[in-house]
Amino acid sequence: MNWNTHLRRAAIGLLHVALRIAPEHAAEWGRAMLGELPHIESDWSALGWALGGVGLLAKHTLLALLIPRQSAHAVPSETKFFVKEGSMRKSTLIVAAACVAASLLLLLAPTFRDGLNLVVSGWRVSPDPQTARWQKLGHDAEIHGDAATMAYAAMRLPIDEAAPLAQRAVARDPSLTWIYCFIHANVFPAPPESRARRLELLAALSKWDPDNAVPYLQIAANTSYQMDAYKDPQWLDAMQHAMASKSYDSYLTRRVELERRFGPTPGAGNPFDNLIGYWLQLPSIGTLNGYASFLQQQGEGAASRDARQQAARQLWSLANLGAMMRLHGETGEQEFLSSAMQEIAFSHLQPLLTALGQAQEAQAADNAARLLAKQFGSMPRNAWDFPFLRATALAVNFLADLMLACFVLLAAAGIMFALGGRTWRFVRYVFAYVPVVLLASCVGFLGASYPYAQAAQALRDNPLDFGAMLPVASLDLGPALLTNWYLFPKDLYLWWAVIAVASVACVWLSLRAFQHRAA
Amino acid sequence: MKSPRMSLQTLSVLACFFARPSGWRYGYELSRETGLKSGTLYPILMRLAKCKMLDTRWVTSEKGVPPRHMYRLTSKGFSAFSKDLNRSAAAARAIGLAPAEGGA
Repeated sequence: MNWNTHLRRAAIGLLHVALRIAPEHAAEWGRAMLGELPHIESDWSALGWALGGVGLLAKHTLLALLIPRQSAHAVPSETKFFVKEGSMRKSTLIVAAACVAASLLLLLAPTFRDGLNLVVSGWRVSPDPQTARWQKLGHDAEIHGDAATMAYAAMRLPIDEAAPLAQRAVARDPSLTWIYCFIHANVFPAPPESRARRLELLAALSKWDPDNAVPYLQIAANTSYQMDAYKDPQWLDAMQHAMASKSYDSYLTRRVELERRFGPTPGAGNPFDNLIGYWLQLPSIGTLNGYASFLQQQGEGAASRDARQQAARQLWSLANLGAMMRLHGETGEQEFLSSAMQEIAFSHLQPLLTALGQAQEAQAADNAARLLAKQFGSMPRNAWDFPFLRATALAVNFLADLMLACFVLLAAAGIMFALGGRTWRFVRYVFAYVPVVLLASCVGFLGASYPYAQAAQALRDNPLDFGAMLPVASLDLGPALLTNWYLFPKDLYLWWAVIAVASVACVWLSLRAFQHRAA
Repeated sequence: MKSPRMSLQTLSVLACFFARPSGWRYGYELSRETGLKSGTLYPILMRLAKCKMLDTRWVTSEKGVPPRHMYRLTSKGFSAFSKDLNRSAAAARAIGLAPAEGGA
């Protein structure tokens, strides 16, 4: 046999190189494959044989680097983590350091930092950790007589502190009265005392801007959260005023202008606050539907034609209010509600007009209701569909938790290593596996959080981009969105606890699994 | 030591040994008989040897030619393989070492 051709020599050379770097337990098998080479007739088959051997040896070399080999003699019978073993392989330490260094390098990527910032900002331990900052800003602004900064701070404080500060800012500059629209209790449902304060501010706002429907709608929304709120005279009065209003201005443009004077959009780092900060409390679709049914029943049951016509006029006004909201509303939320409001009004108007003998108008109302229902059903869906949003937000949060757990484990092992416990099995396992898990979770996090980081950037560019706000906020609300009570902080923290514990448990179980496999 | 997972490839390798239980076999010879590439065959041989189902030895033939590694089924390997005779027969049929059912 001729085994001195170029191809044959290349095959032998390849196997020799692989043998040089292969761990001893695999090298024996590499030599076995080398021993077969001269007996393979075809040069190409010999090369194929050698390449198969190179692949096998490379796999074992990589495994030996990542997982220190446990020979039968080296493994003690105990399965506990804190027993002593032989000293660590230098290659293990090098691979561990390389993985940690690569993970830290990823932190330099702006997209990674944006994503991490979004997630970490949701890990609040108190409802508003920045309260002290806004208090100081408001206090300093008051000393300097800066009404705009006072208004800016007030919109970020809890309502008990925000209301008096906002009132003092408005006393200095009445053109800032619109800020009353954004003084919220950041919990739902708001406690009764804060609702009273908010209604007081909204009453002042409605006096300042009497032709605008928005303050009245907000008064109605704050009067009662119940489905039968329309039975409340205060709610009815507020809605009557809203329906009679000549304009619709949600003040969002003014707010964005004010925010831009203070640099990057505050709250972009904390999506939950951002979402709440721009939230317009409006009457619910359920309440409006109940109100329309009530008007329809009132009209159909009325003895006089005038009373029936009065009920029909109310429904026309409701439809008109929906149209104004559609024309001037600046957010998707208002667009959604306006369509619903118009559809509710027209669908309840149709039977009433029929009863009044106005067949043509009844037909027009019916057609309008059908058209709106059709549009409503085919409204362009946000690409961030909810189930996808929930799943990816949870994945991003889980990966972030995993990274944190890895860092904690590495820190613990690092301390033990420095204290001389380098031969403890715990240290060995953490250094062998956790850096790999860390790197994998960092890479996974970069990929999973990338669209969220892009959305955060879009939100910084345009704070009214509600399409971007939903995904950004979902990183904060992700777990809570699974329950529909997404404004209850206690649910939020409960879910964080569940995720954090699950992450640590996963890391622990992975370590145990590797431990048993190695043993 | 735990027995290796009996994949079809593992069974086909064992079937080769089963055909000549006491004989020593070369790696390339096994590769030709089973049709397995070196990257698939040798991990199987490694696992079988680790589980003491195979004996191994080195044989030097002529000067300047590397020694060859040879393999033989141990009694443990033989009994382990016999336990799953039906599967082994199927594997043997699959690789043409035994006639197909209903065949000659």
